[in-house]
Amino acid sequence: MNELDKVLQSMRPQEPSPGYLDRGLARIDDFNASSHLVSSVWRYATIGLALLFAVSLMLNVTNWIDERREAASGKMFVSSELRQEGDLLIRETRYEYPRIPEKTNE
Amino acid sequence: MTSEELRDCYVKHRRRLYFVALAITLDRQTAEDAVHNALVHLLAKNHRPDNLSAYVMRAVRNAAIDIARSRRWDEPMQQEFLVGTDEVLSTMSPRMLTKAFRKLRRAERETIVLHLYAGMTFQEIADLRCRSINTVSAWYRRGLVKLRTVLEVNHE
Repeated sequence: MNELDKVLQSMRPQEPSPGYLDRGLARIDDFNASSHLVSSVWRYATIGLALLFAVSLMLNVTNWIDERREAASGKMFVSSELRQEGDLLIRETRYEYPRIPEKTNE
Repeated sequence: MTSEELRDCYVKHRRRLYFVALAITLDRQTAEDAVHNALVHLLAKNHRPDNLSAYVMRAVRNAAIDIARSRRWDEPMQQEFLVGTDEVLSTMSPRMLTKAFRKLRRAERETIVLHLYAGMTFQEIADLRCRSINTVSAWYRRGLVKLRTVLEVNHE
């Protein structure tokens, strides 16, 4: 065995410090805790947005059904003057307005 | 990869991971930091590799290289990375051998440390470095020759 082999075998690299394992495990646990928090926030935010969207959709559908019902019962009309101007403007006559009769050529 | 899998891998291979980092940083504290940084980085990435231990070792090596790059190589050593185990200390101090190690190329130094002290085979080192086993054994031989030369010059 030559001198270099002896020297190399007589020395060893420093072993890791006593807290090395625990610090690593703590880093993993910390990361898990923080990522759990972030994923929880994301989950609740997604559920909240989905609920908002569902409520908004439900209100829109209800509104649309009401409008259809009003139109069917003759409480909505499109005036002929506005139609002649080329704009597709629709004016709703709600309950408080009296129904305007259609113009006739007579 | 789940955190439990990474946790198990770390517990099982912690010493080898430490040596992979130490062979690059030559400093205990920064080697430990490199291992821990790599663990967090892997958790954040959440990738599922085929061979977890090899993947973690490569990540640790990359983290150690990042730390070593951010540090000036010629800055004074805080501690020698080698410690003596018997009376050979009287003729050759750990500081001298550490200085000699710092004069080697990184690949040579890594190969000597991982093979001699971490007990890794040339094939395992070749897998870690994505090189052939012949290249790794050549690094080892060249490293020993350089080490011998440096130590002879310093000893005279």
